[in-house]
Amino acid sequence: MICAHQPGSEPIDIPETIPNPVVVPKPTPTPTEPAPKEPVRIPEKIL
Amino acid sequence: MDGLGGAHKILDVNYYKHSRASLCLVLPPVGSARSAILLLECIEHFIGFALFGNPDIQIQVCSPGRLDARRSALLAIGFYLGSDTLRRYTLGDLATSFAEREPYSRGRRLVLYDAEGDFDRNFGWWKESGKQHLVEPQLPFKNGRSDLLTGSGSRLDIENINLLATLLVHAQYRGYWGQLGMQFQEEMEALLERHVLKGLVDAPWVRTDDPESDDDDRFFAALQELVAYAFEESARIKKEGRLFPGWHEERVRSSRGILQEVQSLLQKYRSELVRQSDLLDQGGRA
Repeated sequence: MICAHQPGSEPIDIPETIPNPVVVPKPTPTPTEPAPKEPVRIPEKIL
Repeated sequence: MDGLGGAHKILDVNYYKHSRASLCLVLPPVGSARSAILLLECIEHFIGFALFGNPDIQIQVCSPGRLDARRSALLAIGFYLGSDTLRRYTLGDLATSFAEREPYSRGRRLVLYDAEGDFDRNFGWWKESGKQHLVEPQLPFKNGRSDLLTGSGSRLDIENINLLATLLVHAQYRGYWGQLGMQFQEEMEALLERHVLKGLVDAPWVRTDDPESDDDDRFFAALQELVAYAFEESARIKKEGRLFPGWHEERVRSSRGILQEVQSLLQKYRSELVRQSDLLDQGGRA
């Protein structure tokens, strides 16, 4: 009989979560500051 | 918090939370998976704290409409197998403040119905009338949600749940994507049958009005069988990767194991939805 964590045996280690091996991880998007607002342009008066 | 309506609106009025949570934040409904992800990313950016993939944060994704028992099972199974994380649960991981709370006891499940609270039905509903594509200004049901407790969730989880719930709710309520949804259901059930897992769909994945759906243990036995199958498949793929590192990726693609099959199925239906939507945008007939 081989007990867990006995020298020479593989420890029984049940993970709670593991990565799904068939899903290719997507890079996490880096947040960027929003572009500064452009000043409101007031149309010139046409006489 | 003020921008979301104030603490009284999003924290104090809410009796629902995970049994181990200190608080539950209810975010306003949005019209797409992209909007939901963006909203969470904005909150992440603002608080400087990760929400996605954070073991301290449980994300519950809510979809409009109460899916029937069978479709709820397909939603949960599709989410589980399609996720970028394979999770091993205890029944306690699924306990919420509404697990036993009457009259809305929801049991300990991955999928939970709403408790008849606030519901915003003012979202466009795509339907088909003859050969015409119509957008109704409101959802076809006055109330009702199917919520999925993802645990520590990801962007992909939100996208997948949104895709699955859209297909399934349109199949149930005869929406524009109803035919595609029915086809998806058939393919998903055929996939489960090939892996001798079709019986799992008969377990009570959601607690409905049917007293027979009360059995948490029957649900959990089905979930454990699914989890064991997925972990075994994952171990097989990893083992093949170690033995044959040169052609691991090719083997993964061609192995047709359940994890790869579910990815392909989700990708197929996602592409089809986008293709048909693009055709509609161009004024053509999907």
